[in-house]
Amino acid sequence: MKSKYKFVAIILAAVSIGCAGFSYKRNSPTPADAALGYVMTAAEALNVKIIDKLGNIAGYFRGINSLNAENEALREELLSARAQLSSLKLVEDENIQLSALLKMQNDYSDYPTIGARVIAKDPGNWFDTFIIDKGTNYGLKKNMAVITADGLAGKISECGYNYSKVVSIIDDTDAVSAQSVRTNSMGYVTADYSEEAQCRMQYSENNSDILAGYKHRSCQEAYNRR
Amino acid sequence: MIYIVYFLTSLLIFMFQSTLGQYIAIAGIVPNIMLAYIVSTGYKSNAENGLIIGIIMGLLQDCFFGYYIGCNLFLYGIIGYTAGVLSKDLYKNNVATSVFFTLIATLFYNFGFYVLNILLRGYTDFTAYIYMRILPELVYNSLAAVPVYFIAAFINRKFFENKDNNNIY
Repeated sequence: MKSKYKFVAIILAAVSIGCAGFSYKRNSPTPADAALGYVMTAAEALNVKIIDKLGNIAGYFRGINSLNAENEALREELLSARAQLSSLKLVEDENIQLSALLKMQNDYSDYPTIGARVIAKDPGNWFDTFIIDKGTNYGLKKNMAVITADGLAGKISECGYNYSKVVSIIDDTDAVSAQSVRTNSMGYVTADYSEEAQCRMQYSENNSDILAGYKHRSCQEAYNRR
Repeated sequence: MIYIVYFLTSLLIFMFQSTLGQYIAIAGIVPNIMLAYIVSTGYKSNAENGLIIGIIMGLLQDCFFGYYIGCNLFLYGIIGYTAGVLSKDLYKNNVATSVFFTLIATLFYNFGFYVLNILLRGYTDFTAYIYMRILPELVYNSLAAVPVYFIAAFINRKFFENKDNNNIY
């Protein structure tokens, strides 16, 4: 066994010494070298490619953690952006409402107006009364008109110190005299219960040519029909 | 003690009904949670407590929203008392009975309200009122009666366990 190794080692030494001697001063690869190099280049290139790919895959798996963190952050950002958007929407709605009220104040510049907020509504379904948050402390009195940006809403039926009870125009306990802007004919407007939240004009002349959906102006004093 | 609890819960339910209740309205019709609470209390406890709750609720509603004081006071009081009297010998732990009582009470309340407030002023168009107000409220009230029953049952169990009413079933 040992002599076999010795033999191989001697042959190996002889061959390498021989090769060294032959290739001591070489300028170009020997044919054997060239053939080997030709094959090896391709293999080496392939190797490098494979290593690159493996590195990419490892990087992919390593990147998932950071992606998760990024996802979390983006999610939070989206949520906060949505919250901001909805609050901005609220502000926009309020802006539209307030500018309508401001326009209304200019329309009715002859009358002093006070802004109020609806704080409660009739619990039942029979009457359309509601409560606003201003009362005698702001100089409100019974029978004052309550208007919105779209026109007459009702009148004050009771006045407390810091609240007032308002009877709506769509409540059939009250009526108001009115004049059609289109034809100048008179009549009075009260609730119409055959249709929900609609008003009806009564007691106008036969030939007054009143059409639904047109504007009517009401007089200053609403009167009580009860 | 129980009267303070009843007063506070009545106030709470009244405030809920008149402010946040508008947000659960469907087609402009609000479920009458106060009525359901009166009926549930009358059913779960007894006629006296139903009457007291009815009086508290009726006074609150009349003071804040009524044209005159007395209409809701009368109707709610009668309803609470009647619910207590009728359910005296009934099995007390059934939601369906409470819902049925609320249904009948809604019919009675709306009819009484129509007679006292609308008919006496000269409006006789009852069918329009039935379609526009009574029927939708009937449906909606019986739906709202289910959660209200559990609230009333909880309050009754927590603060006022009437031994006489405990059934053997």
